[in-house]
Amino acid sequence: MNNNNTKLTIGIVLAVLLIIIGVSRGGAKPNNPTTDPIIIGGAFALTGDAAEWGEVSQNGAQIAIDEINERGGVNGRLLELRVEDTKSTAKDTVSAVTKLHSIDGAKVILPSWIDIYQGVANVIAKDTRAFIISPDSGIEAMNSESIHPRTFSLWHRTEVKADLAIQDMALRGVKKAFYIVEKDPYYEWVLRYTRASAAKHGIEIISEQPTDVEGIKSVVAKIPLIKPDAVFVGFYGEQSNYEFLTRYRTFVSSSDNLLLYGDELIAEMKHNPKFPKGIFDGIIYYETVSADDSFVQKYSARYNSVPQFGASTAYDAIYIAADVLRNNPENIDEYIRSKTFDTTTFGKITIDEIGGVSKSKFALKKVINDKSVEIQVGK
Amino acid sequence: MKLSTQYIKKHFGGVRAVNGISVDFMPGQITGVIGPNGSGKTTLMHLVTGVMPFDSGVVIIGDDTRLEKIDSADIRDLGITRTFQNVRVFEQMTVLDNILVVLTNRGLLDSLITKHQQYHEDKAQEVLELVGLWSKRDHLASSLSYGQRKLLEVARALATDATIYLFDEPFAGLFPEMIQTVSDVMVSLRNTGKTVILIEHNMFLIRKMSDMLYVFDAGELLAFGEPDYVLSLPGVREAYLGE
Amino acid sequence: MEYLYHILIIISIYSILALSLNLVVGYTGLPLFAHSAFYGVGAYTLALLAVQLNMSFWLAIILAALVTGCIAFLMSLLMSRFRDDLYFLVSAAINVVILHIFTNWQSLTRGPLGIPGIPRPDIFGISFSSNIMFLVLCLILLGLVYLGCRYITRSSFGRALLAIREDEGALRVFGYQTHRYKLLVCVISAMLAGIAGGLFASYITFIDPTSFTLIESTFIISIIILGGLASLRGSIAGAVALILLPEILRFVGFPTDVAAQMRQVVYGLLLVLFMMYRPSGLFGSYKL
Repeated sequence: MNNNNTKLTIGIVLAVLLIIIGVSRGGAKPNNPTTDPIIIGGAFALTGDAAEWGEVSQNGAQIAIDEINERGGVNGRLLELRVEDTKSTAKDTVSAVTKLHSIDGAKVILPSWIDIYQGVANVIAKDTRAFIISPDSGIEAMNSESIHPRTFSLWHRTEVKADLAIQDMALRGVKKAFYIVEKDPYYEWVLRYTRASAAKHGIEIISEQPTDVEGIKSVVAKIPLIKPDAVFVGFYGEQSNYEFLTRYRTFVSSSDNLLLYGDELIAEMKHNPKFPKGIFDGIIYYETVSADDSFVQKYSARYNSVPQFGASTAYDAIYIAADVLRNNPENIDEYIRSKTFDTTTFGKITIDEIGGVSKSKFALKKVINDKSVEIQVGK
Repeated sequence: MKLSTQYIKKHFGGVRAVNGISVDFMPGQITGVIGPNGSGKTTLMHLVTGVMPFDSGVVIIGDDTRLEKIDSADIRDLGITRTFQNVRVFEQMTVLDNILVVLTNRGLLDSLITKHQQYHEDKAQEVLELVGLWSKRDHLASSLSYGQRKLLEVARALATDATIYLFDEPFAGLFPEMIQTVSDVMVSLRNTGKTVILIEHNMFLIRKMSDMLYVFDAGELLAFGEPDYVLSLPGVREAYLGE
Repeated sequence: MEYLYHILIIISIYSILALSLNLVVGYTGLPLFAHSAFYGVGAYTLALLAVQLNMSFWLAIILAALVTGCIAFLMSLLMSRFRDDLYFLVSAAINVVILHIFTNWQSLTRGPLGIPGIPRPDIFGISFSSNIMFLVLCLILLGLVYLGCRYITRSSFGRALLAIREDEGALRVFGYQTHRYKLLVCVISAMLAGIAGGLFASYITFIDPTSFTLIESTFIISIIILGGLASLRGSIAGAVALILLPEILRFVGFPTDVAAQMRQVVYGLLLVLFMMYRPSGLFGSYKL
């Protein structure tokens, strides 16, 4: 037994050494910096809890890369998207970003969900030629408290959205609002901005953040007891939204005159065939004002589905990255913050001091007979 | 050292496994305990060694120590050791480790700070040689035959240098040479003034080895006395021998 | 090379976790399912001390170990009433409770926002902020933990742990206050896990509750089962295998649109096949 174990140990150590040597020499760092493709890293959640977000970001990024390459690439070099799965965990997100940066030589990385999995910024912190643009991270959660160098996000600005919902509530005479949202950094920031805005309008905010389906069921049952004037719902997943809405329709009747609000995820959730007809009726939600429908058409034609979540922002992130690579500025942080970018998601934007989209615009919509109708604030 | 019980009881719901038994096990004697299956013999062993708590009664050790409850972790310090009816050696430890664990320091920090010493190994060798298992010292206990595992249990009990020894069916499944080994050990213990309690179904061995004999039936004491006398009692013959 | 250092750092941290858990599960036979909670307590303790009190890494990691040990002590007093399946369930429940404390005690832990800005160590002017230096630190601590575990398992205490695993009732008859042994081994194990947590916090420089869920406890148990129960070499081998294998699979060329999913499938299949042919793990001799 001992001899076998010793041989096994030696065998494993040799195998590990060989792997280490292979990994160190592996990857496809460009040998010719003037003609080899420029590697763009996509650290997307392709498996695990956040998988539906990662796939659509990958698709959106790929459309942009193919378009740029059809027009000759950047400075004569084609772009190549290398994707690594973050498995929706912190440890694997850092692994994915590290591998893309150090083995694949990616100077631009699009990582998903990094407001939850901070720590990735350290990977590129010391490389002044590398930068991160996330298609779906809440930049307040990522960058408000300490600004990470060359770390940006194109996700919709939390402060603007939170304020818009409160403005509408205030105009409709809401005095007490019950926020039922996910428990994660992004929604923590939603609540922070909501409370700040609500304080100015004299609205009391009560919040509950259930962590599972059973929690959602319990919280919905509290609505008649709390007697709010408005309920705001914010969940990522199909199951959570389904559980909430079906329970909500059971516990709350139309005669209660209760206003129901949601966030931008409602726009995509509405198209999900799992939800019964009419379940979204009456819900008021905010949506980004898209510059044009061309991206939706391109995406639908290629992937046979409507783009969701970070698809368009990933598309925009690639174009911004291409701009930076083309111009090769000395200081990437200053360059990006000084420019105006034309995006498909928001139209013309600038990047603000914390690395998010400055002054992103939102429209308010209401679902009436299963159709989304744009409404004026408070009307 | 004498081991006695006074009106010791253990009921399992409606089943009176041990029903008010009072017995004395004397030093310098091998006291046999016999009875049909389910008569309470092993249960009594569990009660006096703290493996099972008793409902009422007293266990008396020596002249002074009266115990209304016993924790199994305390019996060693009371000078008691035992073997089990169903062999309970430490299967995935070596034969030597099975003995060393009984010999080495049991204090928490002591055991952490010290490894076993040479005298521990010497003592282990002594008891293992006595039962013929020294050559198997580096083998896992699980690799031993059933009979060898029984011998290992005996060696483990011997290693404690106790004053009271309880053997629960030690001869079951043993080859004749092993039976001789174990019976020699018991006789030797008896001759050095130890208290030896022997539960056994083998009438030949019981008659040969016991100085005194208890007969149990249905949780109660049926008879007590010298083996020849007890085994001739009609009640005993009917209850236990089926005559 | 940064990627390689990263992998080796993660392997070192998980090796410490596996070594510490193996003391309890492999050597003592206690089905403990709370190791990510100890890991998390260590991480949060170091993070809070380093960020809020500006404490040096070395003092903070010692305190992280002590705090984790105290919590393990209290937990073990509660769990000592249970055995086998119930012990497993109670430990899992405690794991969940501790996770909820991380998430909901927001005034202390900042809840889901986590604790950012955890500094890398610095001692006597030597900075461990680079990955290579941090790796050196991890390897030193791993070496110390390994030697400590080796000492424990070769001592009389370690022998008693094995006997508890085999037959606690029989061991008690020979004078062992086995509940004290179980208590102490849990405390030692938790303290080592707390050290791993402190290392993790300092390496990633940010922690939040999502790193310390039951899934993490499952992963650590998988490491010791794959590596071999009651085997120190196995603990490290298991960590190497389970951390390295998915990273190796990143280099295997699957079609892009299914690459991530295929890698998970292959990973799972390899584990299943391995356990079918070597159920006692890479270096284990003890079978469940």
